[in-house]
Amino acid sequence: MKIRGIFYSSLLTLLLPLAVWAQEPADCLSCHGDKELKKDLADGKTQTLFVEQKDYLQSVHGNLSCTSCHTGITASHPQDQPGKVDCGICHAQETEAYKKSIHAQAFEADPSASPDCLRCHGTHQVQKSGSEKYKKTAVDQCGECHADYRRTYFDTYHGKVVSLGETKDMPLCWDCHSAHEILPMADPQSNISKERVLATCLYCHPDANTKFAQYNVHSDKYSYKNDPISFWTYFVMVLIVFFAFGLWVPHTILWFIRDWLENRKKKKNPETKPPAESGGGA
Amino acid sequence: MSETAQIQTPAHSGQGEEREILRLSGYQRFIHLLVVIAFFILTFTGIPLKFHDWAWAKLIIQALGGYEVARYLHRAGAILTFLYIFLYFAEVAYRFIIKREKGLFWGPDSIIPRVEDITHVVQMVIWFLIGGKRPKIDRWAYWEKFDFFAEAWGNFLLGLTGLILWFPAFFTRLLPGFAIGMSTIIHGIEASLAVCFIFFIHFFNAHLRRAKFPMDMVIVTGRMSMQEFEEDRPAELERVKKDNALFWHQVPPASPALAKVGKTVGLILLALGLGISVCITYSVFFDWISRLIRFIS
Repeated sequence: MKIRGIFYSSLLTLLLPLAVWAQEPADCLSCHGDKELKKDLADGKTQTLFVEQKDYLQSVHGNLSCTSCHTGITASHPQDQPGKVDCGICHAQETEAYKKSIHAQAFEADPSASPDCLRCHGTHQVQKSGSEKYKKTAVDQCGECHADYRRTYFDTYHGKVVSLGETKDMPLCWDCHSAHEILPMADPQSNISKERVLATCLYCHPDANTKFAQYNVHSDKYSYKNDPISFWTYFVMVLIVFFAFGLWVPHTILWFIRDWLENRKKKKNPETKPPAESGGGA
Repeated sequence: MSETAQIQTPAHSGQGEEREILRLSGYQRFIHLLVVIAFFILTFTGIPLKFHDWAWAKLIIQALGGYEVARYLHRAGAILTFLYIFLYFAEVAYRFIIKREKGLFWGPDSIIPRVEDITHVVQMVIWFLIGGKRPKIDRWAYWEKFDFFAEAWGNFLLGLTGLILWFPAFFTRLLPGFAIGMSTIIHGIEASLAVCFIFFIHFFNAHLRRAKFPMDMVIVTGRMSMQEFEEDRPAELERVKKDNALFWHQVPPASPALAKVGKTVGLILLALGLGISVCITYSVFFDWISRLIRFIS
């Protein structure tokens, strides 16, 4: 009996940290589940410290503990200074790629002007990048800063199909621009540089050629400066529309009114010859 | 032409005197049927792509069974379009080269516009404004000629840009890359124009105006009553009478079953077509007005 008692108590002791680990999000949420929880920042602004439990549990990180990302939290929390979240702990490859990107360079210069990991992936609600849920929000995500590129993307076949809800075979922003190592067009290493853009197209279009790859996918038909060819094409097509309807809408309206007037006249003078309208052979 | 040659009295009409004018041959009606089928397939699978951000577009795609279905149906519609274009020109070639038909490309029986058409437009506008006499229209009215050439122009433009968009890698071997972007713009706008033109203007001219309302059955039966012929095509009637050829244009009425099926299907398509055209018009106006407001503010 004594041996068994020792066994159970030691097992319990061994399992105790596990129990604490499992309870941990609930522990943190006992304070961070409060919508009013705020922190005063150095520049006078306040930052909310509230965490929506549902977002976190439904995220791809829903099975991780809080401290897997929020390292450096000690027994003296909240008086301690927790370290900045480092995604590189698990996602080393992506973080290294990001550090080479134009986003990282711009972020270093001005954190408000360029995204870090969190800006694109979100914080507690982070979704698996291949998931439909993430794909559906992806273009809007990039469009928050690149509004014109978002708009012109939806002018292309790729964008229109995505907008109709079909993301299966259709490229999203990162399929052409890459996700983490985004480089400007002028950089030869960029996916969309003159040197490499054909290779990017070839990924989905195995029969693509140099001229195919010269197609300006983000051409803006409303802007003469951006793409004069698209602008004039659009302009001429709109003129054709105005020409066709300018001629025929008045024609139709006048014909309708005249028919109505003639019919009223016939009703007033029924002695004139009966209308020939038989309504066809039916 | 075989139908004009039927001389026996109509078996089913019960009125021995009742003869109708054969206006459209079986082949012409068959081609028009192919046009209708192809046009509706292409409209309902293509237009939602152009108006992708509208709920009605998403609804149509869902009703069709998803984007993949729409994509293949659209290509089937395109193949059908190329088929009827081929069949049309095959008949024209047959009538011109083998039957040596005169007046196919000129004269009152031809679809090619004549000086008289301009006179008819002027007379028609005068009739609209002050009433009186309508122009004496011959075999093809000017609005029918316009419809025909608008359709031909649309087919050319949509066919060409559609092929470029279907096989972009092949066509950019011949054309510069911006041909893809140009084709996207042209295809979308020309398609919206064609759909709205057919369903608002052509439908009114051919079916919805008071004399024909709600549907002109000539496109199904090919036949027109003598009374209607006299009212609608007085110049042709005069010409035919002068040539003593009226007999050759007269046929017994079509079977009531054909007319019934034609009318049912026709009216459903009429409603569908008008419906999607209203959606397109609303969306385009909404877009333009919101862009105008943004531009001003």
